[in-house]
Amino acid sequence: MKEQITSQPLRFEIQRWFGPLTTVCEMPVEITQALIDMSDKIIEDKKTKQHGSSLAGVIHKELKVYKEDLVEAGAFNFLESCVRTYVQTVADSCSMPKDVVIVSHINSCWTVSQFANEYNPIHNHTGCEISAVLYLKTPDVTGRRNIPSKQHKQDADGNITFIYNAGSERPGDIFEKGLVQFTPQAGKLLIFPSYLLHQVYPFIGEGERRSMAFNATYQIFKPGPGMEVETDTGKGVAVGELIAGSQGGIQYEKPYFLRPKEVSVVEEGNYDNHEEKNLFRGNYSDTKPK
Amino acid sequence: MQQISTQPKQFLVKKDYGPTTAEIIMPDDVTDALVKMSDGLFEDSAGLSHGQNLAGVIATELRVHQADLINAGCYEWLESAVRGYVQNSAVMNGQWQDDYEISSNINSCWTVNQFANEYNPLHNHTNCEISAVCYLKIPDVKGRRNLDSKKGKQDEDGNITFMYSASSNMPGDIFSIGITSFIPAAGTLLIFPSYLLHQVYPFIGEGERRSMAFNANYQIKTKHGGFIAGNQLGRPLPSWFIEGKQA
Repeated sequence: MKEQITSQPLRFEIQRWFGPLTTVCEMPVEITQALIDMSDKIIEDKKTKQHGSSLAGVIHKELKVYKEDLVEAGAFNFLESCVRTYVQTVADSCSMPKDVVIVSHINSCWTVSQFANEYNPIHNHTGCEISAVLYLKTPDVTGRRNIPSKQHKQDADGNITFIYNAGSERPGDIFEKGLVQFTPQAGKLLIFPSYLLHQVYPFIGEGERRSMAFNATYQIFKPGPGMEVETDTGKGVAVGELIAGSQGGIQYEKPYFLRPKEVSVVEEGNYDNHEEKNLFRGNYSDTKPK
Repeated sequence: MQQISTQPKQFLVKKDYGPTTAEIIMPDDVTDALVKMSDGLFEDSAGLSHGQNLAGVIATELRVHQADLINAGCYEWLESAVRGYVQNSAVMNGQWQDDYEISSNINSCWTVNQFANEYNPLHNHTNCEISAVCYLKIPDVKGRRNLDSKKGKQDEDGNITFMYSASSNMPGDIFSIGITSFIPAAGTLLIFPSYLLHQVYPFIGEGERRSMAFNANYQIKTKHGGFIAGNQLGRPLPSWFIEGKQA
């Protein structure tokens, strides 16, 4: 037989062309601690309002977080920048022009204090295009059940599962993924499209699994001149045609996120999206067709 | 200008895409026989656990052998339900001709005795093309939590949810559905493609939520033996299902 060529390929790249883009962010310790302190205060404050009637969770304690709370905690700019970086990185991955105008705003936020035998059923989020969850307290709840027939099996207790598509999770197929599960860790922030279904499993025993979730809305425009949109600084920016994001306009003032605790945070903001100072170094790990 | 107000000759809203599933109300004699059979398995200290093969966070999941179903008088009934699902699906999806032949086999079966705070995480079934679940005992677990902030909201406790596609379940879109939830009722049998993700929520308080699940293979062939659809491997039935207990 003729000798077979053994040269290495010039490029061999496994790519993922389809499906939603998500972000895993490890927050700096000072942000995590600031949010823990903030949520401690919110939980202790008897005047804090429940957010549970707007949420799917079978969970007793889901509390409203106001923009003021995030600003006072010193974490508002960080979280807004995370959202902006997510949108910008995704836009880059879609080969959008560099001069597009991106506007994004967090428009609701709440804490979830989950205790034994509580859970969050499958749901997605409305009134937004982007959703996020970050973890503040995550007790080790794995391996507590001790069911004899389940020894050596992976334990889902307390995990969050994201569900995209049953047809992408067919047994015996390694080329596609339809659901992804995370064991939460304090300090982790996950950002994802708001339509992406997700749920949290219950756990048994002691401990509080505390997370904070928020929704955000975004718009991407061609550069102006055209209509004027308002950025978080309160400045008007001339933009052209809407390319992506909310078609209903930025839902900037939600019923509770701003109103009950009024604060003039607009003066403190620093969110001029024409400059990249609010962007982190996003890492788009999957590749697209060349 | 006066507008035409004539009714359309036909106005049909259709659901052409996505998987077909079956919702069957079993006759009482089948349900009663399966309840009695599962009582026997539950009380039998030698009842074999099937939990190692299952996703459930549930202590009691017991193997049902082919012989158990035969002895209960339900084996042929359940096999017929599977074949009915296969043939009707093939017709609905435009893949049926009158000279085609269907073969199908239930190839595993187990009971799930779910109690308070147990649940079944999101999963699908392997080594089969068809899966099914029927309900045998269903306590009323609704409204037990009494969460102040959830008053007036639908309660998911004890429900089974099937999940097809997140992008078919977009908020603010009424034209497509990506997840569907059932409140189980004793005597109901659901049959679905085995790849379809599904889960069962926990509940609190007293009561046993007892179901029986099974998997099946199928093949559709032409009368000359040409393969049309189904299991291409010709998988043999697992030995535990056909052995262990003889009819």
